[in-house]
Amino acid sequence: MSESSYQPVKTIEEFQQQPAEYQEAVRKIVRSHSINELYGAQAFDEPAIALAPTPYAKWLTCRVAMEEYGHHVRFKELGEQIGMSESDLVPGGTKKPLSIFEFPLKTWPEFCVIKLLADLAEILQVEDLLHCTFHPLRNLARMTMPEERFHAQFGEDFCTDLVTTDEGRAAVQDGIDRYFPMLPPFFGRSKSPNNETFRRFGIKQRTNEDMRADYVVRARQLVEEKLGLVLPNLPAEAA
Amino acid sequence: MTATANELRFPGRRGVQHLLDRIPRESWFAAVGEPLTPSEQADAAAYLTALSLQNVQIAGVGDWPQAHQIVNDPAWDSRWWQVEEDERSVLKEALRDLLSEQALLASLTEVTETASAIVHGAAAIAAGRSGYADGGMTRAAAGAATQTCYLAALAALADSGPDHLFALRYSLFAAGRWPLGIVDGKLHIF
Repeated sequence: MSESSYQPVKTIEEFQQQPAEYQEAVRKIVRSHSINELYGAQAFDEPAIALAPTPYAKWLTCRVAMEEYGHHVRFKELGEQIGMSESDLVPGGTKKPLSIFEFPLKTWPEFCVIKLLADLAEILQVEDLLHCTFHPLRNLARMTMPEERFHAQFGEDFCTDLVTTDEGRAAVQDGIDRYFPMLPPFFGRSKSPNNETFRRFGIKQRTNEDMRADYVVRARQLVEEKLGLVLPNLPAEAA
Repeated sequence: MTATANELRFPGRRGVQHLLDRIPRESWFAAVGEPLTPSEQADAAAYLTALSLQNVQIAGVGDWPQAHQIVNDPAWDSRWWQVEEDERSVLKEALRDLLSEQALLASLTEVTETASAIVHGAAAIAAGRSGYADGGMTRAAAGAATQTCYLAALAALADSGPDHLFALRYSLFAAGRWPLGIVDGKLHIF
């Protein structure tokens, strides 16, 4: 938990009275979520509907995709309320997409692995906003959290089904081997000045390195204890 | 929402508003498991005609376990899904010329969030009444209903009329049914 004693900012009007550094810090977080939610929906969730093998899987995937698009719309609305332009809140600006979105999705097991591991990472990021001093952002995080949990559970459930066959087990392990190493950088650099600012204002609670370490522990529990597979070791600098 | 003034006056917007008004009042999943009435048979036949699928019969589904089996059948006929996907792409492409991608996304999200807030509970109640407890099936049912609202919204935005494939699909759900898919040459309606 953060030790910040920054006073809660309960409304958009109060936000406008905050120091420029606070406002810019919040905008960075909102921008990141708005863009990443849209990237995730476009790169993975919507294309995965075609990969899903049965109507049952397709409808669940539809639901995931619709919710991820919905998260983007909500973060974008919040961004606009705090003075950001649309171009700041959609992909295509100066910032490169995160490398996790460059994974070339081709199979259903790969998608299930993405939900299992990337949405776990997303849960940690959203968890860190649940006590955010900017209440409109805190409330949005609280609204999206149950849906993020459903998406990660979706990955866990379908991976659990897949690993019951040799072929499925090999496919899920292959997906984990290739996708997991892309995820730790999702938490940002260690000793990041941005993260220090976020914590000073109580916008976020934890350091990037703390969240990354927690993520690796939770991913290992899922992959090794629940699925009986192997989580690849990471290079020392990434772990 | 960031739709421009012109986008808000866009004719299809009225259709979406009509849909938003209807969604909370529909009988989501209220008739699943009941025998199909003649008018429901006719609605299902109209849906099949709109899909342009020949030689497909209509079959009722009596309970949740049977529905679960059908939606998980790996031998399902994917032509049904493909026809709808193709139509979805056609509508999205046509709408691209009429309103911005962000305005389209905002309208669709308004519909899917409205639907999502209602249909999951309705599916859970329907399953609970039958003594069936499978969270996955309830979520799949809600996913199917929400997707149907999304498709109906696309058709409404494109001002496609009440006989459009997606409007017909919506009418089956609005009557408390769930079309599960085509298996063994039969469109199974729960």
